[in-house]
This record gives sequence, structure tokens and C-alpha cells, in this order.
Amino acid sequence: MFSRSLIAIPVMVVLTIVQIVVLPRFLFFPVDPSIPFLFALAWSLLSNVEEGLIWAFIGGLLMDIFTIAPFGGLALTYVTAVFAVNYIRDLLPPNRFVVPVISVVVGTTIQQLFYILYLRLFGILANTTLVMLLQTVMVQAILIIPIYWSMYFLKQTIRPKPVQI
Amino acid sequence: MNLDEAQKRIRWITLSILVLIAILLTVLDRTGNLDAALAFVRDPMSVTLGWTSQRTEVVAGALEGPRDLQTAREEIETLSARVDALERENEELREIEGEYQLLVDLFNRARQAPDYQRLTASVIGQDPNPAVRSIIIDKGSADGIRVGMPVESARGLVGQVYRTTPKSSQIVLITDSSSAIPARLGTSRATGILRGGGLGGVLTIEWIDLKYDIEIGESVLTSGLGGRFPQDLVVGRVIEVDRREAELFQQAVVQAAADLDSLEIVFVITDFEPVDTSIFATVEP
Repeated sequence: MFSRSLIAIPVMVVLTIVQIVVLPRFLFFPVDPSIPFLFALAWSLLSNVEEGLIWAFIGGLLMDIFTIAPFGGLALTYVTAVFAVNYIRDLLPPNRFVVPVISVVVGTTIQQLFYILYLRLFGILANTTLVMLLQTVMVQAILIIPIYWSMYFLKQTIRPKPVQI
Repeated sequence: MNLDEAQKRIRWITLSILVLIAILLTVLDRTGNLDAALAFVRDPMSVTLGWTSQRTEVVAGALEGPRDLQTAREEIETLSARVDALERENEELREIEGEYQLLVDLFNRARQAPDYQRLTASVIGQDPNPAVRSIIIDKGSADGIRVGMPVESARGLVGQVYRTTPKSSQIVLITDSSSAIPARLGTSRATGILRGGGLGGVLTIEWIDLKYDIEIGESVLTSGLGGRFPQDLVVGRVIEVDRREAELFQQAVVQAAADLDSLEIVFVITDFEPVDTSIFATVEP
């Protein structure tokens, strides 16, 4: 499992660069979505939770390198959110549109609220407002569909299901 | 133990390990024990960010080209129609020459800004974390940038250098909630503390004495108090005044002069020496 998750390092490096450099230049939304978080969440839904946790951890750490907030905070909250989503996953209808959207709504809300609390622990007042939180949830709910489906087809290609004859 | 239980146990162990590592890293970072390791990773990645930023600009320029041409044609038509209206307005404007003197005063005020040495830098990235506001520039300690140096754009103050690597620096913006800058109003000369963290990146000047009559449109400058920023750097303009007679102080909402959401080029003031005020700290007996 851990060796299979090593691919997350180059993938997350690229996604972090996209997040920091490319996304602000081509800003279509009022808030910036967290691309590494969306990919980690999608992978946890498609593969297994353990791999998703490692993807979230690596993505969070790489994002932490370029933020002025305390290091490790995004990694901690990404991992927690991906893990929490795993618990509601079984309650949802097995639909490849419903599951990612509801998962990202729940996951983003948990991640953002937990991160605000985390920053408060260090005496930092987050710039996040309720409006920004709702906008982030909406934007991420829109983006999760193409990300989830592109990763679904990628997984089918690189890890096809074994067929028993 | 069945397979399902074993799977759940692995899941919990993975979560616990990752959470513990994240907490440990936070503690190490807050105690300053991670600075060297992070700088080691940050520097090569900053080079990649700079490279990607240049390519992104090229692509963005190529994409904007055709759209700009179409927009320009539409604007020519609109502008031609407006010429007549503007000529009429021009006559009316001649009658309000009284405002001219005010503008001259403001211009002279801006011209009095001290002549500091400025290092030009390109913005290569934004903080990926929406809860805080900072930018990354392509100049670092190898170019003479040090932590605490003030940073401005062509229009006004942007922020302060938060940390550096040899080839890049991170600037905390004046709109971040951690930012607090002593400021002075241009006309009334009232002083207060300019704070970030407002809704939609709005700035607020707090602790302004009620004896001052603040006007909408007053320019906001750095006061130089506290010694962290030079005096008279343009910050923005007052857009709203919150004055309640029952309170001891009033506050003003300020619109930053610089467009902090689309910064491309900034200037780091490299020859300003912050005043060390630590000598005034209370000494424990």
C-alpha cells in the first residue's frame, strides 16, 4: 500500500505548483479551490482510505511549505477530513455522481472548520468567512466531478480489476 | 480477527501515525527547528514556481490576445459614442476648478514620499491557503532581501517580507488578519492602527481619536510609528467612517491603493532600517 502511494509525491508536487502559480492566474471562481485536497479525496473514494490518507498527507505537507500559517496544519486537516468522509461513504447510495459531491461537501466543511480551530490554537484569526466557506464548498463540489471521473478512468487503466476465469 | 476488522485497524493506525507526524511537524516548526529543512525544500521548488510562472504568463497572454482584439473593437465603438458626451461634461468640469487645488495638494503630498532604494521583483505565486494572505516573489536573500523589509507596488503598500530563501521570498499582505500597521490620515492627520482581515480583504483603521473629523476619500499613509515601516508610504483611501459618539474611538474602512488580488510586480524597500524598539521592553527584576 505504502509503496503504491509513492506516486502521490510527484502528482502532488505538480498539483501544488498548479495551485500556487496557475490557478491564481486563471481565476474563474471567487475563491480558490484546493486542488490537492480534491485529488486526495477522489483517490480515497476510488482506491482505499489508507491510500487516500497518504495522498492527503503528502498534498497537505506540500501546500504547507508555501503558506505562512504553521507547518503541518493543512496536512493534519486534510487527513482528518478524508478519514471523516470515509464514515459517511457507506451511508450514501452507490452512485458515482452523488458520492463524490456529498463527500466533498462534508469533507470541505470539516476541513475548513477544523483548520479555523487549528489556527485559533496559535492565536491566528483565519480570513475565512461563512460566505467564503460556502463558496469554497460549492466550487469544490463542481470541480470534484471532472476530477473524480478522470481519476476513475486513470485507475481503470493503470489498475484494471483482475478477472477470474 | 476477520479481514474487515484488520482493515479497520490498519486504517486507524495509518490515521494515528499521520496525525502524530503532522502534530510533531507543527511543534518543530513553531519552535524553529524545521527552518533549515523547509528552506532546503522551498528553494528548489521556488525555482520551479518561477519557471512555471513565466510559462503561465506566456500562455495567459496568448489566450487573452484574440479576446483583447475583440474587446478593443467593441471599445472603439463605445468610446466614439461617448466623445460627444464627454465634451459636454468637460464644460461642466471647468466650473469645478475649486477641486483642482485639492488635487494639487494631494499630488504634492505623494511627491514628498521619501526616496528609498527599491528592488523590483515578480510575483510568482499566491499562498495556497485561503485562510491567510501572502504572495511569493522571485527575489530572495541572495538579492539582499531580509525579513521585515516593506514591500509596495506602483500604487501603494503591499506588505512585509515574512521569510526568505536564497531565491524567493514570501510577503505577508496588509490584508492578512495578522497585519497591524501604524497609519496616518492624509488630511486630518489622525493616527490609528491599520488592520487586515476584513470581509473581502477590506482594511480598517482602528483607535482613531473622536476629536478628528475624518472625510471619505482621505488618503491613508504609513505613520512610521513603531519603526517597522517608513513614514508616508501610500496605503489607500478612506471609503467609510464608523463614528459612534458613545464610544471612545472611531474607525475607518480603507480601500487599499494596490490591487492585492492581481499583483504582478512589486518593489521591496531594501535600505530601510527598522528601529529596534526591544530596548523599551520591560526588564524583569
